[in-house]
Amino acid sequence: MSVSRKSPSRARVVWLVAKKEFVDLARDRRTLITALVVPLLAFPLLFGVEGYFGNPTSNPSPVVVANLDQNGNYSSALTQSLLGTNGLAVSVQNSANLTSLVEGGKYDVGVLIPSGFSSSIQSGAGGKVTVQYDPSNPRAAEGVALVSADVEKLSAQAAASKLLSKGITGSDLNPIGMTIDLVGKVQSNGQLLIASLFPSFLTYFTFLGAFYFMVDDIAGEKERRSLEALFTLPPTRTTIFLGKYTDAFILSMITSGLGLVGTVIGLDELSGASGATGGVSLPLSLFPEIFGIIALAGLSMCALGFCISTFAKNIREAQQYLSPIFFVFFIPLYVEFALPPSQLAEFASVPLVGYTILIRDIILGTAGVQEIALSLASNVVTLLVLLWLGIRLLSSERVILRTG
Amino acid sequence: MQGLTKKFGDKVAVDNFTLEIPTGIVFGLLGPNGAGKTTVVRMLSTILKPTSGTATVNGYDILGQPGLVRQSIGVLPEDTGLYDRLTAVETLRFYGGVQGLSGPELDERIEKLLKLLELFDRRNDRTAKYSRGMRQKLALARALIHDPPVLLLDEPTLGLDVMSTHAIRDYVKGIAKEGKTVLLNTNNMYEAQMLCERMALINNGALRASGTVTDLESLAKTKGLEEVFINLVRSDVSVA
Repeated sequence: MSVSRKSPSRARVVWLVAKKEFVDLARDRRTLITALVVPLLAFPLLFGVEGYFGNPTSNPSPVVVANLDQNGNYSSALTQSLLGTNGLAVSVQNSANLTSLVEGGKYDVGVLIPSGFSSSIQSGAGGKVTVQYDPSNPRAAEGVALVSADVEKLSAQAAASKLLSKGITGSDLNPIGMTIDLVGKVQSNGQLLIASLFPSFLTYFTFLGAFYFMVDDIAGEKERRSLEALFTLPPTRTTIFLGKYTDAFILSMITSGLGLVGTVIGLDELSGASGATGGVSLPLSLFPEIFGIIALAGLSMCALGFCISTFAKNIREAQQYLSPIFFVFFIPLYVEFALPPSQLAEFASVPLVGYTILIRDIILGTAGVQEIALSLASNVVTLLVLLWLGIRLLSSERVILRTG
Repeated sequence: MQGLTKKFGDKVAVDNFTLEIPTGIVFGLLGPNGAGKTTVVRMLSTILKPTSGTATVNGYDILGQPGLVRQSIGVLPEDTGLYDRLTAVETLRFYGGVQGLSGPELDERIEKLLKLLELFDRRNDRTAKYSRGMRQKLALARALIHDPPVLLLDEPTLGLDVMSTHAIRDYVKGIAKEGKTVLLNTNNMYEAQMLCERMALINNGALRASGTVTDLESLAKTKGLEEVFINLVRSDVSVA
């Protein structure tokens, strides 16, 4: 041969295959948008919107109060209480057709204080306000809750005042009290919120980032008939698999990293907007540990994706098989609400989905050595099985000839 | 090739195929569509494993030394299988790199092949923008990037226009003069007669005849390769 050649090492071939794939995917807008733009923007936007619309200060519930009990003590007290409640934008009118105002969407909640309301309370017959709202309006439900709290507060004050005049105290009325003490390491709802959402998002990103790449890569090569030329090259199928897999994993990690940044920004927005100061945050010291688990999750999800992409006849079939996997990431969210902490720790050992629970428990500080060891062991075994299967599939004539 | 057989389930794609291809010639493997030509090439290029039998390519056994076989061959498959988002230079740099070429030598080789195949002016265009003829030429350059001693060309001019067909055929003639061994799969009799010193006819997966054009004409008792082909295929059908 006139051209001098030196057989490249496996590492060099893996690098060459990975580099080729990177050049290829860098020119694929669909993959770039999915892998880079979506994770960075999705959650800041989502949480920003949630933070704005869920914030009672920036987005109070409009309430119309029709006070037909002019000059009554209790009606005035209730109206003043409503006017001073944070989260409500109250408009007081002497008479109004509340139903049309609420149905028309001008107000979330209508409160009718009937004529004779105060005198009825004073006489002992009791008074009753009528509240109207549209149940399909979530902000209205928040408004009704705030109105109810004001009504109950006024009712309690009226009762206490009347009882006191008869020599009966609050302790006489409620002789047995209750104190609730929180135990365990979870001390705030904000901490629980972040521990639930954050791991699911991150593991989701490990798959999302490489999704289109995995769909397009082996199944796409089958469809474009480029595998045959690739397989006539000297490297083994294992080396070719590793080159492609390396790309998918790097892409998965880039997306997860951006998703991590996006999620932290988003949670920060949510925290600031909702006023839950200090509740929604994540200590930076946990990041290396979390990212180590995410890397393992990325390796597993990419191995699973490549097995499916290799088996699929074409891009369409690969999409059909791979898309349902996104539902896997919602399973832990449901499981968290259904299982007590002790069983959740066992769930962390479930391959592929257990990562989410493990990260959750690390954030909450409840992950024990046994939980971590079992979860990592089961997932490492799963990863090795998936890698073995992926290489086997790529080496199988029956699978490679499955085209169409 | 010694008793080379390939079965897909119950279907026998290649049946006990025994053939020796001399070194340094263009050898035509002729046969109608579905005769088993592509399966033979896939087995020789180690993409498929024979169900039984074996073959050696450039002295290397396809079962025992598949890596060395793949180092010795350049393959132009039936479908070019190019990466649409890569340019011609990127394509050849990738395939050349994996074949063990690097540095200035690889760059020179890429330049030489692209100039020879008249693709140099479009070397930095993505292959998605190439015509079918240009894609076929680039696929040929890809097969030749590492200067292999054996070339397996599967229907290299199928569906090409006159100019591209002419260019590819010219180039195959040139390769033969360099002393390389070329296995040319085709069902184009004109092309076979023009390029191949020797040829074999395969039908229904089995070898029907082999030799020079003259040998085949005497066997089929007719003149002209096209008539030979038709006679041999028809007789095969009647035998079956």
